Amino acid sequence: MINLKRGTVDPRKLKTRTMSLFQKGFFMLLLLVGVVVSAQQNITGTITDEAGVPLPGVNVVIKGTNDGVSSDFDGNYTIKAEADDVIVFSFIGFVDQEVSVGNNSNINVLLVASFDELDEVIVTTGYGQSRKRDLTGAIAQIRTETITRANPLQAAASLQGQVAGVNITKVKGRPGDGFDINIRGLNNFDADKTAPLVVVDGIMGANLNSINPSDIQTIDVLKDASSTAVYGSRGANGVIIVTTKKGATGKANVTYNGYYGIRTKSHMPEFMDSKQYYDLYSNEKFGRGFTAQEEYNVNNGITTDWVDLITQDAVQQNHTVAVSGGSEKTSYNFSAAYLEEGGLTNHTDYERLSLNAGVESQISDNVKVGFTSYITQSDRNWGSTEALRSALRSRPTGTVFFDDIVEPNKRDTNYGPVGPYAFFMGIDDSQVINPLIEIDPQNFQRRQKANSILANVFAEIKLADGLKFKTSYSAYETTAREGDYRGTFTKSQKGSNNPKVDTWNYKTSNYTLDNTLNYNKTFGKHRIDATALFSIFEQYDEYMQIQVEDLAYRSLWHNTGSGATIKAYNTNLIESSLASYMGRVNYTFNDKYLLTVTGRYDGASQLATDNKWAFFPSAALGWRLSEESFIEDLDVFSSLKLRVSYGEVGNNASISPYATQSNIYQTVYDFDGSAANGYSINSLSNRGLVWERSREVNFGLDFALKNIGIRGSIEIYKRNTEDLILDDKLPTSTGFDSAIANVGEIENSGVEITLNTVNVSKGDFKWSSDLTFTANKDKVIKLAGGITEDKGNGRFVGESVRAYYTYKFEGIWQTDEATEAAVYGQVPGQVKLADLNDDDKINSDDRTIVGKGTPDWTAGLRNQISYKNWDMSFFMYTRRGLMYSNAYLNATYGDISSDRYNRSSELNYWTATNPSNEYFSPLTGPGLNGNNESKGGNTRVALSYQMADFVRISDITFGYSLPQNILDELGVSRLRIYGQVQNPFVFSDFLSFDPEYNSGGDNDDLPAMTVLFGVNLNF
Amino acid sequence: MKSLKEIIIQMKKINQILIALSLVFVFSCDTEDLLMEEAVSNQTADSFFSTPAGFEDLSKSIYPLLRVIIEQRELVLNGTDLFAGSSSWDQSTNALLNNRIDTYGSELTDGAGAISDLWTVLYKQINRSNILISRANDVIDGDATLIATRVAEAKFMRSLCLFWAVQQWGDVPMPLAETTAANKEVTRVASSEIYAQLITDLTAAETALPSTASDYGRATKSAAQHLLARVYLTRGWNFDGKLGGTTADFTQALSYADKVIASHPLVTNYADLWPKRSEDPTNQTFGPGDQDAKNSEVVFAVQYSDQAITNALQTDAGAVVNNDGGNNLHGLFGGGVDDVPGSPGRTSDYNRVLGVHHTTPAIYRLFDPINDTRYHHNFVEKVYAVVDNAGFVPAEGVTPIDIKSGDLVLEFRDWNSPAATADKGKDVGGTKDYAVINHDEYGIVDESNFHGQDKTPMMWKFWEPGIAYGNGFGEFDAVVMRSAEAYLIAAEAIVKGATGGALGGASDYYNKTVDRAVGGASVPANQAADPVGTALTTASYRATGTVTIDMILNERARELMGEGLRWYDLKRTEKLIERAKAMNPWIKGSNTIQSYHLLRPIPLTESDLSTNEITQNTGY
Repeated sequence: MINLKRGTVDPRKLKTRTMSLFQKGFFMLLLLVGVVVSAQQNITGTITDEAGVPLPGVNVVIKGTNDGVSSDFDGNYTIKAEADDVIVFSFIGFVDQEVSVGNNSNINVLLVASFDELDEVIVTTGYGQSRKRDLTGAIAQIRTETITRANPLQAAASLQGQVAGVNITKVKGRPGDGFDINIRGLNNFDADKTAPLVVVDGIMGANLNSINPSDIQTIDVLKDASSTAVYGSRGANGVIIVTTKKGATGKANVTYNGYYGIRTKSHMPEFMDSKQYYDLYSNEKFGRGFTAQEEYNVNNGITTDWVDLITQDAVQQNHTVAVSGGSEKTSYNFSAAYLEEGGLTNHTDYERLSLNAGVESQISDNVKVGFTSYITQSDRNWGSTEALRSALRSRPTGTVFFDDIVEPNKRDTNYGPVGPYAFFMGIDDSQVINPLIEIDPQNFQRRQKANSILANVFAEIKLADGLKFKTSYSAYETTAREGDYRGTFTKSQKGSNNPKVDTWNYKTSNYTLDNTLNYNKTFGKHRIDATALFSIFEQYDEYMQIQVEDLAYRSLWHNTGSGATIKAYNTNLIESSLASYMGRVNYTFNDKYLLTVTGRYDGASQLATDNKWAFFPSAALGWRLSEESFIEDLDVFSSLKLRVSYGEVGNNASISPYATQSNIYQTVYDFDGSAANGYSINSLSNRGLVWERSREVNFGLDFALKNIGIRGSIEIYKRNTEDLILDDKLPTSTGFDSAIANVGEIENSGVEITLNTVNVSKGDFKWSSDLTFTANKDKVIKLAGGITEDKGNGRFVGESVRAYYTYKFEGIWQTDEATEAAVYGQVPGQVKLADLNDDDKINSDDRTIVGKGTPDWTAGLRNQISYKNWDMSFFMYTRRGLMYSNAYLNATYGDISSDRYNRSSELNYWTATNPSNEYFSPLTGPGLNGNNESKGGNTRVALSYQMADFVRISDITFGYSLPQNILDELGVSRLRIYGQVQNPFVFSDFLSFDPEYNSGGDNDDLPAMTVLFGVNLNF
Repeated sequence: MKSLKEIIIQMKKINQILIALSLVFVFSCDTEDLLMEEAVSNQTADSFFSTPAGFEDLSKSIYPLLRVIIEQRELVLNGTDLFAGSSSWDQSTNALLNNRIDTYGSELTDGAGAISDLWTVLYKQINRSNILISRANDVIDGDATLIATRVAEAKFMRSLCLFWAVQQWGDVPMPLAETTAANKEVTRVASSEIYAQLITDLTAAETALPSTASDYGRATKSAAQHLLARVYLTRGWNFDGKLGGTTADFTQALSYADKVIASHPLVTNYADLWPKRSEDPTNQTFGPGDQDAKNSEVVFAVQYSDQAITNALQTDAGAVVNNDGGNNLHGLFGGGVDDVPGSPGRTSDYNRVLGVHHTTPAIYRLFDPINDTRYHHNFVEKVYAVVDNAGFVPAEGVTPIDIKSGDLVLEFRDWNSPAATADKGKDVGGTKDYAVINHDEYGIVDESNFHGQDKTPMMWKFWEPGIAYGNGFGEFDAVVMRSAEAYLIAAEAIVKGATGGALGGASDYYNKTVDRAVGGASVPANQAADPVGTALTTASYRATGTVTIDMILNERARELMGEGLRWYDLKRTEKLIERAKAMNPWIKGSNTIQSYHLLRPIPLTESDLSTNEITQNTGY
C-alpha cells in the first residue's frame, strides 16, 4: 500500500486508505477495544500467515468506518457486517487485505508478510501515539517478541544493544539488582542525574524493575529533544515509555510463557592455589608467614577454594500466565507472574510476584473508561554482604573444618570451633573469618521486602468529531522494608560482640493527573493531530531507620526493642511537585510533509520562586521522500524519509528538593551525661539556581530498499546541555565540601544506525539480521566562571565528561633502568610513571588525562534463522573505547606484593627473568605506594587504567514450534519450546570478573552463564 | 435537517466541551500552592537560628566536630620522638619501607589523605563557629549576656582550630564570617596576622566567658586562658621569624598559665585522670563509669557519653552514626595481644589494639619504671590468658603447658631490669611458663609460640574496661587541656625569659608534675642517662638547678603522652628534627626529615579546587 505507484492509484481510494490507516492507528490507540457497530450478520473466520500460523491481534475493520475488531490468539475473529461491506484485514508486518463480504459468513484470510509494513508500527510518543511513518523525531521501539526472546530478568536488559543510542550497564550482580540506563551519552557529570524518565502506562517515575518483562507490549525510547519535549523539564535524559499488554475483544485467550534455567558461574578469573600461593609468599620478604597448618595443607596438596564453597548453581525461572478477552464494548486482561533469580552466592535470591489487571469499557458511544493496576511484591535476599568478599580474600592455604586442623595454632585453639568450622581457618590473621560461618543465615542476613502498586484510571470523552478529552489519574506507590542482621559470628561483630540490627523503611508515592484534549482531523490533504495537556505531579518520599545493638537473641529486624543499645533512629520526608502545560501539533500535508511543534511550560517546586517556571519548545519536520516522484522513479526505495528536529528540554532529576534552601541538620554531642544535640547548616543554599537545559538538533533518515531486504534508520544528533546542575566540590576551607550550582555546559554528538536485513528468504528458510550501531562523543564545552579546567571536580573543557585525570602508566622499571628508577626512589620491578615535566620527581604536576570512561561506540547484532518449525537466534554485543580503572586489579586480588590474602594467578608480573611491562614485582611492590593521591593514587592504581573493550555473545536460542496438526490434537493454538544459553562467550583482554561491569566482585558480581528451557503456549 | 435527537446530542457535546474546559481551568488554578516548597523534616537556617532556642541549639553544634578533629592524630603523635607508624625497629633502615608520611618520606605530599582530612575538618569547625558568630546579631528577643557567652565560645573554638592549622601549615585561609557563597578562591593569610587575630579573639573570649560553664564541656574562661598561654608561648618562639613574636609573649604565656594553675589544682594521683581498670582482665573489677572524667585538673575536654546515640561520631549531615562512635583513644596504640595463647581473639578483654601509634624504644627509658606511677599506668607489663589453652607447646620439643585462664603468658621487663636467659620463657630456652621480653627486644623480637614478632607492651594510658570491642565505643572524655600542661608551659616560658611566675622559677613549676608522679619530692625519679641507647646507667629527672628545654620535653613526654600535643611541642621548641632523628628509629633510618617538614603541604584537594593559584609550602 505504501509502495503503490503514483498513477495507478485512484485518489479517492488513496484517501480511504489513509483513513483506514488512521483508523488502524486509532484502534491501536484504543488498545484494540471494539467499538459499537450496527450489524446485520456475523462474519467469522481465521487469519493465518503464509505458513498457516494463526495471527492474533489482526485488525479487522469494515472499510470506511471505525467499526472493527481484532483477531484472538487463535487467529479467529467475529465481526458484524452487511453484504455490501468490504472488510479490511491489517496487521503490522503484513500487506493489508480487503475482502468483500457478499454472501459469505465465513471468511478465512491468509496475510502475506510485507517487509515495508514496519512503517505502520504504532509508536507511543507520550500523551499520544503515532505511526512510525508519521514520526518526525528519533523514537525507537522494541516489542514484546524482542523482549521475551532474550528472557531478561529485568526489562531494562532487553534494551541492551537492541536500541541504538541506549547504553545499559549493570550496576551490581546481586539478585534483583537493576541497571543503569543512559540515552545518547552522559548529559551530566553526575551519574545519578543521567537516568532517563521512565513512563509506565502513563505513570512517570515508575520503576522499570518492578515490571515483569513478559507483561510488556512495547518499549518506546524517545531519544531526541523534539520527541522528549512533551515531557519538558523531565526530558533531558530521554524517555522510556513502557506500555503493558492490554486485553482484546473476543473469546478469552490464555497464554503461558515460562522458562526454567540454571545459572552457573563461568568466565571466572583464576586465583592462586595453595601451592602457587605458598611458593610466592613463603619468601622471607613477606612478613606474615604461614602457620604449621597452612604448611601441612600445602605439603598435602590441599587447596581450599573458598569461593567455590560458598557459591552455587542458581535457579533462574519465570512463569507468566495471562488471560485476556472481552465483549464488544469491554475488554479485560489479567496476568500473574513469578520470577525467581537465585544468587550465585549461597543463601541469596530474589523473588518477584507480579499481578496485573486491566479493564476498559466503552460505556456509551462517546465515553470510554478504563482501569489498570499493576502490583509487584518482591523479596530480595542479599544473604551475607561480607561472605563473598571474605571468600575472595581468604588464603587458599586455609582450612574449612575445625576437625581438619592437625596443627592448631593458638588462635584456633583459643577460639575453638564455631559449628563444625574453624573460625580463623588455621591462618594467623584475625581480619577475615571463615566465609562459611559468615555466610550462614543464622549469622548474617540482609533482606528487603518491597511492594509496589501502579494504578491508573481514565475516562475519555468524545466531544465532537475528532475532538476528545481524556482525564487520567495515575498513582504509584512503593514501600520497602530492609533489614540487616549481624550475629556475633560475623566479621563486623568479630565473634565477640552481641548481635546488631539495622532496619530501614522506605515509602515512595506519587500521583500524576493528566488532562488531555486531543483534536484529530483530516481536511483533504491536510491532517492535524493536536494535543493540549495540563498535568500535575507530586511525589512524597518517606524514610525511617532504626539501628540497635546488643540483641538478646536472633530476632532479625523484628524486635528492635530487645536491643539493649540504640545506635540510631530517624525519619525523613522529601516532597516535590511539578505542574505542566503542554501543547503539541502534528500536521501532515499530503502524507508527505510532516511537521510537529511542541511546547511545554513546567513549574517545579525544587527551584526558588523566581526560577520555578521554564518553557521548553521544539519543532520537527519530516519529508517522506518516497512519496516524491523523483525518488519513486529511482525504483530503489520502498520507503524513504528525512527528518530534522530541534528541541529544548530540562533535567528535573538534577535538582534535589530543598537545594535552594539553607537547611539545618542535627548534630549530636553530650554535655556531662546529658544529650547536647545541636543544629548546624547542612549545605550552602543557592537561590540563584536555574533550570538545566538541553538543546538538541537531530537529523534522521529512515529507509527501506526495494527487492533487497534492507531497511534502517540513521540518526545524527548534537545535544548541548547548559547550566548543568551539580554538586560542585568546593575548597574545604569554605567549611563545605560542595555546593549545588549551575556548573557548565556539555555536548554530546553522535550517530546511530539501525539496520534490519533479510539476508535469505527462500521457501521455508529465512535468515534476518538486526544491527545497531551507536557512536557518541561527549565533551565539556565550558565551565562556570570561565575556567578551562577544574581538577578537583575532574572537569576539563574539551575533554570527555568522564575524563580520567591521573598519572600515566609507562610500564615497569626494567633491570637495565635501575639508575633511572633510583632517581624516583624506585627499583626495577616497580611501576614506572610518566614524569611529564621531567623534574625527576613524580608529584601532582605529573597528572594528565589518560583516558575516558565513556565508550567510542557500541554495536549489537542479532541474527535470526528459521527453517520450517525450527528457529534459532543469537545476539552479539560489543563496546569499544571505554577505559576503566580496573576494580579487579585495585581490589585485594591485584595487591600481589602483600601476603595477607589470596591473589589473582593471572597477573603477568615482573621478575628478573620475566621482564614484563604489565605488572609489578611481588617482591618490590608497585613503589610510591600508599593512600596517596598525589603519588599516583599509588602506582598500583595508575596501572589499572585499562581499555575494557569486549565482544559478548549474549544469548543463543533454539526453538521449535509444534506443527498445526499436533496442535489441533492438543487443542492449543501455539506451542513453542526452546532452549537458550545466556552469556556463553565473552572476548576481552580486560582481566576482571566481567569487562562490561567494572567490579571488585564483592556484590555477587560473579560472571555467570545461564542455560534455560522455556515454553510459549497459547490456548 | 437535523433531528431533535441530533440537536440534543450536539448540545450534549457542547456541554461536554464546557465541562472539559472547566475541568482544565479548575486543575490549572492553584499551581502556586502546588509548587510551594516547604520542608517538613527540616527548618531553614534563617528561620530557626534567629530564635533564642534555635540559637542555643546552634551553639551546641560547635562542639561535636572536636571528636573528629582530635582523631586526626597521625600528624600529631606520629613522626615525632615518641610515636611511629610501625614498630619493626630492626627494619627501619629498609629503604623500600621508608616512604611513609610519619618518616617524612616520599608519601608525605600534598595528596596525603591525613593532610587533607585534618584540613577539611578544621575548616568545617571554623565555619560552624563562624555561623554562630555571624548570626548572633540576628537573634530576636535573645538574652544578650547569653548570646555574648556563646559568641565567646565560638571565638574560642575558632581560635583552637586556627591555631592547630597555622602550626601545621603556616599561612592559611582565615575565614572570620559564615560562608554564604560558593567562593572557590583560596587566600593564605600571613601567620603573624593569624596570631594577632587569635590573641584578639581569645582575649575577648576570656573576658566574656564564665569561670564555670552552663553545661560542663563548654568552653570556660580557663580554657581561653590555657589556649592563650599556648598561643603566646608559641608566638614567643616565633617560628621561622614569621609569627610576629617577641620575648614579651613568654611573660604573657606565664601569666595565663598561672591563672589556669590557680583555678585548676592538680588531682592527687596521676591515675585519677584516667579510667580505672585492672591489669588482669580475668580479674577485671572495674567497668565504664567507675572513674569520673570530670576533675579539678581538666580545663577543657572533648565529651563522650555512655549513650550510643549521643556518643556517635558525626562528620557530616545525615551521617548520624559513623564508624563505631565514641572515644577511640583506647584502641590506637601498638602491641596487640590477640596472638598470645589464651586469647580468644577479638574480644573486649583487652580491646582493640590497632597499632596506629607505636611507642618508640626511647620512651620507656625516659621513665623511672619503679617509682614513676605513670610508667605502670601507661604500659601493660604483664599479659594474662583469658581462656584456657590446654596442651600449649611453647616451642618444638618442649613439654606442653596447660595454660589456664588468668595465667601470666607474657611479661615485658623494665628497661633497667632485663631478664637473663634462664629467667625467660620456655619458648626461648628459659624456665618460665610464660614469655619474657626484654626492653632491647621491644619491637624487634622474633615470633615465638607465645607471641607474634615485633612485640611491644601495649600503651594503655587511655584503656577503658567493659566497653564493646571495636575501633571506638569509648565513653571517657578526651582531655584537650589540663593544668599539668600549664605548669610545663610556665616552666618553658621562664626558660625563655618570662618573669613574674607566681610559683617561682622554672624548676618550681617543672617539679610539680614529677613529684606528683613519683609520690613526693624525696622519691627518686631516675630515667636512663641516655634514652637512645641500651645502657643501664641512670640520671634523675627531678630539676635541681637549670631547667632545659629537653628536660621539659622529656617531662611533657611522660606526663602528656598521647594527649595530642607532641608534634606541636617539638616544632615550637625547634627540636623536632633533632629529637625525632635521635629517638624514632624509623626517622633515623630514613634520614629524610628536613627543615621544610616543619610545615605541612597545602592539601592537593584544596589547590585542585581553588580557581586561583595557591602557593605551596617550600619543599613539596
